[in-house]
Amino acid sequence: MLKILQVIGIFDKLKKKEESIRYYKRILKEHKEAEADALINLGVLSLEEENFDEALKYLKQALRVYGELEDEEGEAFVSDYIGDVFLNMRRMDEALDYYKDAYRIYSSIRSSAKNEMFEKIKEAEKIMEAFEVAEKKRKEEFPPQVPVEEDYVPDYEKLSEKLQDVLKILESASAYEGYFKEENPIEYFREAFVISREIGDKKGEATLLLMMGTVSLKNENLSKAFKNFKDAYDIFQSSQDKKGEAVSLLFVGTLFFIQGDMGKVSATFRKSVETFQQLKDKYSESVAIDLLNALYSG
Amino acid sequence: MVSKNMIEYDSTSPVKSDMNNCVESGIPGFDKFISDDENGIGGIPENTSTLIYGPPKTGKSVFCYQFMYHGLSKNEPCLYLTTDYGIKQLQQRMMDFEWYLQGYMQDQMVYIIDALSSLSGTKMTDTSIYKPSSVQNPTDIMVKLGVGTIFVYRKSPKFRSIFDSLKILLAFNPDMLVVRILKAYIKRIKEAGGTAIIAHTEGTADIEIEEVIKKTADNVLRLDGELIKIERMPGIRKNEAQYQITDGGLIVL
Repeated sequence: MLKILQVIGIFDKLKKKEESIRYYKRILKEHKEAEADALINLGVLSLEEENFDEALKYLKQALRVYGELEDEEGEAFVSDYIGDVFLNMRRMDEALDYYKDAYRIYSSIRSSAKNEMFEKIKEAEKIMEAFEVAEKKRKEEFPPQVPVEEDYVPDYEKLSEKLQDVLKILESASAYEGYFKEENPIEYFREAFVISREIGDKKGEATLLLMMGTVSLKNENLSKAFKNFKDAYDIFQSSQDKKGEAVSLLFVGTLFFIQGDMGKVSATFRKSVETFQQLKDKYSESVAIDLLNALYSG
Repeated sequence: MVSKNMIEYDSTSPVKSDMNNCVESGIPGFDKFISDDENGIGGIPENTSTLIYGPPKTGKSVFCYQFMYHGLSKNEPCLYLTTDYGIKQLQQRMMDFEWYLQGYMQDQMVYIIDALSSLSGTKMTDTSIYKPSSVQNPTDIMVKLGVGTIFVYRKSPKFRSIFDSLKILLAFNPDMLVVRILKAYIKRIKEAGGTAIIAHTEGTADIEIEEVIKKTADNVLRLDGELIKIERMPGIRKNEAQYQITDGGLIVL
């Protein structure tokens, strides 16, 4: 009898052990799921703050956790988010890779999310195509080198003053106008530029680039000026600020004038004036035409 | 020119609430209300940021004025960033409570960044303690804030700062840009050793953004017109008390 009871006791213990193992495995799984959830939330918050590297770090960790949990739906869900981060970073190839991974998983588990994913891939491919076209066009418009014509001696001081007048079109420029009068204006502009980058004030950043470029032009540092103007144009373009885009084209056009590339002068000024016309901004349009007249009249 | 030789500050380190280093608010009953059980010493922890939020017309700005004015009376300079009212309205509103700013302005004890007056097209003259800026130009606000921080720090390393409020900035700028402005503001003030109060009108941003704003400050207080609630203040338990807006300012009952 005692033996029978002892055997039952062993089975009871074994049963309890099995239950305990099941219990702890369940707890572990729940913890891992909570970890993945937290990582996704951190990733999404970082993405919202445009802190892309952080977002990728968290989301990739979440992807690893879902891998360990063998949770395919979770993996697809996170892959979709990682794709979004790369899309925001304009790293289209990588974005598409992750979207395709998500689509493959959703298809294999027959999730209804696969249709949505398919649409997203198509959309991303269209964006990629648009980026490629824009990049090609941009390269055509702005060659990286600015050779200066030998027989043309521009009055850099006068040109810089003229561009300072053009800057008045941008409301955000008025706050920094006083810096031009400082002994070393570039330091002041650079300091404000650092702040604008820190807080993500795109309009301020681009405006200050135009101002720094104007100082570089006055100092006859044309390659620096060109880079500043082109960077300003890119920022205005990516933030869909049409007026800023048109204003920066006037600066780029002025540099084309210095290099003697009249074809590009005409193209940039025309594009700028057309934009002002679309915006029904008569004042800026007249400033653009004034600048062109001033350039041609020396 | 903004100096780069500011006090080193590690934004990742947790905020220590040293109750022996508190800043008197000047609001009757408030410092006792937020005193800790152990020491019974109250006041806003020095070198922290406090978000005062709540519905409109619940006394958030009055809290700010009272906090600034009390500091000025104790020889603590103040850096005031106003985005809700221009300088004239600010002075007028304070005068309603018999708090007169003019003398302190003449003594250069207060440094005002007025980001609103320019909106009405008024051309304001820049002086050593008054800097006009614009809610549409956040970089300029931050540049002037840097200069202002050094100005008040030189007057006294123990200074106060007010940011009243986020509402108009949110109306003119993308939400996340305003959050970044707020973070940069808090960082600047704390780096220099100041104690900051930020006012925010509830409901002027998306719920998610409101949450992010609340997480940005060290301390969070909510005013609803009747009750003042401590939602977060390290070292202090959550609590609430009734308050009134009187001719002499806020009183916590």
